[in-house]
Amino acid sequence: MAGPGRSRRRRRFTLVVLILVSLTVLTINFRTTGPVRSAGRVVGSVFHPVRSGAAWVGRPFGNLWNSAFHYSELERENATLRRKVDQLEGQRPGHTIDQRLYRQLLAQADITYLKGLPTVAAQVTSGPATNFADSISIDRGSGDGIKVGMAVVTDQGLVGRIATVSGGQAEVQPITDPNLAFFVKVYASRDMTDPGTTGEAHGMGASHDVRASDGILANANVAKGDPVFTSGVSTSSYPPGIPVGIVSQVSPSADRTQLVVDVRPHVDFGRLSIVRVVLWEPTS
Amino acid sequence: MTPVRVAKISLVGFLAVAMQISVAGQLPIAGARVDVILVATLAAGLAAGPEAGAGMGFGCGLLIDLLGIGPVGLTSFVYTLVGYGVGVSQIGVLRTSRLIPLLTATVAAPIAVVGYVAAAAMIGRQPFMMSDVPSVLAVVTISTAVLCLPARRLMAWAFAETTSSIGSVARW
Repeated sequence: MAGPGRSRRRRRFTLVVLILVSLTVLTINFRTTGPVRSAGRVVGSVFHPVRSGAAWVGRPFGNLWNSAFHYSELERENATLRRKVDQLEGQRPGHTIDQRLYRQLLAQADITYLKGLPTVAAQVTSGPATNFADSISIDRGSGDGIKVGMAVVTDQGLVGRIATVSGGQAEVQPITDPNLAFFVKVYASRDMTDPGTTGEAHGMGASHDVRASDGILANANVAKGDPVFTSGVSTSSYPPGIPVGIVSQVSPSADRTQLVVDVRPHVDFGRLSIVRVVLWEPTS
Repeated sequence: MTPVRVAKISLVGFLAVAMQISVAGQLPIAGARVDVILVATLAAGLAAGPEAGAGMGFGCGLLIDLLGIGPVGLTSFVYTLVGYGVGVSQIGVLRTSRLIPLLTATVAAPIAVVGYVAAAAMIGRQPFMMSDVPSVLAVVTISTAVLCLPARRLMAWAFAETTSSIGSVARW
């Protein structure tokens, strides 16, 4: 029988070994993603049936759960939609003009949303698994031509980017993730000659707006309600012109040299079921 | 360690990860999720000591890291320490009481969340916004307190060497 001293030494040895292994994996993950990604693919494949099965079985329960915990939100949304319907029914000529302006704006900015770009449709199998990783799983992978970095969209707009991919599944990093930065272009909706203002946006966490806080100068022509698209600058990993959202708030930065622009995403991340992966990679 | 014991521990670990990705992850409460991996880690530490807690935290943490998009190794690092700490805290406990493991888990859960956020910040990552911290802390702490006692019984079964020792470990 081991004495208390020996037992304590063994415990500490185990702890040190496990901590060292964790730190080594963490370091390897930062330096090169190869071995870690391979391990991730294996683990992902093992748990893929669990995820798919749970998604199939749990979808009705998930909807019930969401209804229970977001009932007031659904009520508000319902009331907003009713008001919108009333407004639209009373303003049909105005709607026609707005649509024409919108088309002009799109044409002027050379925005042709996904026109000619190949896409792959995918089903969302699960949302974020933990509090610490804001990711979405989809049921398409490298076998469908999907690669890390590709844009993921819905008919509403940009969802995020492919973060990891294996044979039959992929993980999507949504634009609400605080660790994802991307370039956006804000167009002044009331000025048809506006060439757009480019800035760098990043997520603010699930169920929060996206924030563009870098690159938009204080004198830029940006106001609440302006449409926001992916910029398509040379370093961007997304094709240009994908709708991101609408400006919800504009405020000056702390040093008052730039604007902090909050953008409400078009995509409702809580109700994603089908997405499309844009099979497009930046040329540079 | 017997093959049966290894199989039981592996099964419980696999179930914890499967529960996290299929159930707990998909049913958010106020934007936060129940952390089954943390419950399993704390329960292992409470039921079978520091090595069990550290091992469960490491294994399940590494699996959940590999399944997500966060830095691989971070959850295993933090949860190894938390599982070990909880196990060590139970070594000197002599009295039989349900309150002690319950209190230990209730204190350890927020420490684990804060520990993860701090460790993530040290490597330049931000798992969620600071405004979400209160809801995450509340959901994780309450759910861990509720689940830790039944989970401890399960861990006692998994880590027990033989059938006859189940009762003695489970009673603690």
